[in-house]
Amino acid sequence: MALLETIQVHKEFGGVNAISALDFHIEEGEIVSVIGPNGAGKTTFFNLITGMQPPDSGEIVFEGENIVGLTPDVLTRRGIARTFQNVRLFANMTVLENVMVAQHCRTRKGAFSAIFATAAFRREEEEIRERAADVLSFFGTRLIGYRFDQPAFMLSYANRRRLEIARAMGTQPRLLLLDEPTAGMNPRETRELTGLIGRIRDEKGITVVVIEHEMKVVRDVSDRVVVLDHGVQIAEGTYEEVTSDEGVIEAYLGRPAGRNE
Amino acid sequence: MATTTVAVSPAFDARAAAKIGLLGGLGYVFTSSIGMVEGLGEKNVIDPVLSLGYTILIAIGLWAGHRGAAVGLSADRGSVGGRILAGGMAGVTGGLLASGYLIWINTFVVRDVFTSISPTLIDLLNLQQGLGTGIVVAIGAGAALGMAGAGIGLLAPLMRRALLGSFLWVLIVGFLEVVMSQILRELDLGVVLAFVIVGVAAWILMRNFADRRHVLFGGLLGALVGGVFIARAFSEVNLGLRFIPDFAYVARVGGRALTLPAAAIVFVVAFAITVLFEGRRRALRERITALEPAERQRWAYGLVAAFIGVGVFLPMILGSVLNELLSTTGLFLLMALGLNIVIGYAGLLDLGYVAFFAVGAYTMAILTSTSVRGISLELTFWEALPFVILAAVIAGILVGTPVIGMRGDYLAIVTLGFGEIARILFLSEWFTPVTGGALGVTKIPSIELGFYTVAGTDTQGILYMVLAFVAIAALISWRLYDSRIGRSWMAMREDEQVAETMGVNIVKAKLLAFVMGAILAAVGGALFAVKFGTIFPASFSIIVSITVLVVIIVGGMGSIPGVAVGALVMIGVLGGRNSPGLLREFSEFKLLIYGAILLYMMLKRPEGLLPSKQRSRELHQAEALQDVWLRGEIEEEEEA
Repeated sequence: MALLETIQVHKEFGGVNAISALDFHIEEGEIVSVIGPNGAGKTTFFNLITGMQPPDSGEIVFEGENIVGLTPDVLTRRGIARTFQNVRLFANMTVLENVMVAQHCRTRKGAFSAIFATAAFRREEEEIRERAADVLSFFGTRLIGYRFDQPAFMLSYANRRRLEIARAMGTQPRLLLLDEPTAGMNPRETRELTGLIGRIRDEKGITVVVIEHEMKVVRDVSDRVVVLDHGVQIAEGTYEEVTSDEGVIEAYLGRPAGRNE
Repeated sequence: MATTTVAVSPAFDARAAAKIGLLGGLGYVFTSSIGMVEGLGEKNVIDPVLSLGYTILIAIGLWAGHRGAAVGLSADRGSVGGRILAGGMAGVTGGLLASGYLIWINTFVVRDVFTSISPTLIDLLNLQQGLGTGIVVAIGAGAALGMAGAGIGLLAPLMRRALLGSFLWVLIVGFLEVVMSQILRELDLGVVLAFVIVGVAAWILMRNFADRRHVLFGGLLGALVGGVFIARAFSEVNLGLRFIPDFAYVARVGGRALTLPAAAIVFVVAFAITVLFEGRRRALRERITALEPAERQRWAYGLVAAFIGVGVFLPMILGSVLNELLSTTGLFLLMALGLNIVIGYAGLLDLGYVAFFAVGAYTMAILTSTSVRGISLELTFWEALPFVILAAVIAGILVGTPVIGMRGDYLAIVTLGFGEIARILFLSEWFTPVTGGALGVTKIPSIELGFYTVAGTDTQGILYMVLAFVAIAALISWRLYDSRIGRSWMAMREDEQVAETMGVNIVKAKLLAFVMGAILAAVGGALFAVKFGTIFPASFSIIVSITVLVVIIVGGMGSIPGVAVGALVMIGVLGGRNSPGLLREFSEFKLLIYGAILLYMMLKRPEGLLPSKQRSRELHQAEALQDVWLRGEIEEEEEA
């Protein structure tokens, strides 16, 4: 059974079809890339899955259950986490706090135990802290040590992207949605991140969907590639299959001259 | 033609200096016209020689000279003579404007429109002589003060700070007359002994049992109880320090003032301390920043223990006036701590906060009063308190639910409406049988403690009650800040949508913030009801919400010590809506000063007096980034 499946999903913004009749599926442990020209509906696709926007029609099935209508926080608890195309960290909170917040839905101590600082509360805080440090150590030495107490806005661009991924991983997801994780990174950082996406699947067992423009990354990480254009899936398959597909080339480059039917 | 004028290069930019002078002159005209100079003319700072009214005018003159010299000269042309000249120029310009003003008020009767320009003021500005003297003095004093102001700018920074700082201390000691006299007169052996014993006990406990919390807290509690007994046992033995206030202050029509010798002593001592301890202060600050986190936390605990000690023993010697003043401050602090959770932590701009205060006060009043016609439950304070909290929870949910989807301005306007609705409801015909309409609820009984009864008129007892609840509120705020709930509030404040995708239930988080804030305000309201014994709807107007907001803005949003400082400065020193503060001379101009402080804070220190780390980061991101860059911590991507 697919981990996530969308069945005939439609989303329209003021008469423009952002997503139409989309049938998408991803198996447990897969890494799928979603590519397509600007405005193809890739980010809208993520917004629909994470519950930030409701689809107009269709079903989104996660772990065998229709999740349409559930709020983002419930879906995060179910195991769907995402990053954002335009990095959206909690800029004034520290690096460690950013990842600690992400564990909100995995922990349960409320205001009462916090006010009385019960033993259980203190134990849970300690666990939250340890798990956050653990997630951050996944990124090598870049986000640990003195960085823990640095506010997020002080980080470099690449580190902000890394921290956003760490924060998403902090929610302990089964499905991780990465929205252009290498945008704005230099070639070396991009290479490093490509390896990291593989490690997320291999070491943590998290299924990953990546929106990506950098074709080298798409080639290196994807088990499967899905191409969207104007909200419609126009191709699907391995990297080689998709990149040689005429429809895809047409969507990106336009029709060759003289073939206007 | 043009070339010849260029050749005569002026010693300074006369126009810029004159502009500052005009600003100073406007300050003179303004403070005189609103009655500040006259109103404060009776209050002497240093007894025979200097009144508060003149102090203000002198300060304006010095400021104009100082700024005039700084603005009139570019840094590379800063010759001593030029500076003094520029300052004098600014001073004279201001003096000329002042003279114009003097001629105007001396010649025409303007009192019909400008009610504050009285004959007394005119005499005051003319130095009791005629207009001629007034003009000569205005220009002469303007020039002299301007040059003096410029001269201050020439001093070494340390000297300048010592000079101004010492004068500020003279002013402070003068203003603290009520506090100083009261404490020095009443200081008895018991309080001093108790404070010393508790201090030593706390020190020993901290050193030896820092990691055994139960021993630590138990020991501290024991020391406090022992201290209270000792304080009571020796409370009759006065230390006989009465001679100090008798020497330092003298009674005058406008209130007691510092005597000249006392002022001189304060000035010299403050000056000496500033100069002698200059290096040490910096060293101390460095030592504090170099402390290990664990060590620093221990010091923080020590500080908290000291505050508790002061809270326990100070009310014993403060006397009823100051106890009353501190109770009012404490009530506002209680509300401010609650609003701090709503605005400072969760970022929900609630302008109708007074509604919760009113709900608490009315719940307490109706449940305990012996005069309510409709129902007569006549519960005790402690029986009614759970219902007050319950009412606050319900009110918090009622106000919070409709505004879940709102943020910022919209939320502010809607909550503003809720605040008014609450007041009008309590006033309404509909509820009159229980709330008494405009007549309010009377005969709210005292608080029974079992061994002691705290009546509303017992200022010391009320202060203890208020302090106890403030301590609880501070503890709640502090614990919540560094918890899962606190983090979810902060995340929500930063970016609501992202917080939700990170698993925070926005609805729950918002309601919880409203409810926590409501509970603290309602408890404040309950104490307010007991303190006055009577409540009226008029006590719960919108201005209370605004005042509490100003307290946390000035103090520092999101920071508990900041909120406490804000309450002390705004309510304790300046005075609340109907209660005088320490500076009772200024109470007439309270709103003006409120406005001025708020304006200054917004422009120069938007993060507040004692900001939370996070809040100051937020407002100074650029500077923080530069600091990090200079320290070389954004080393980045080059390492392979």
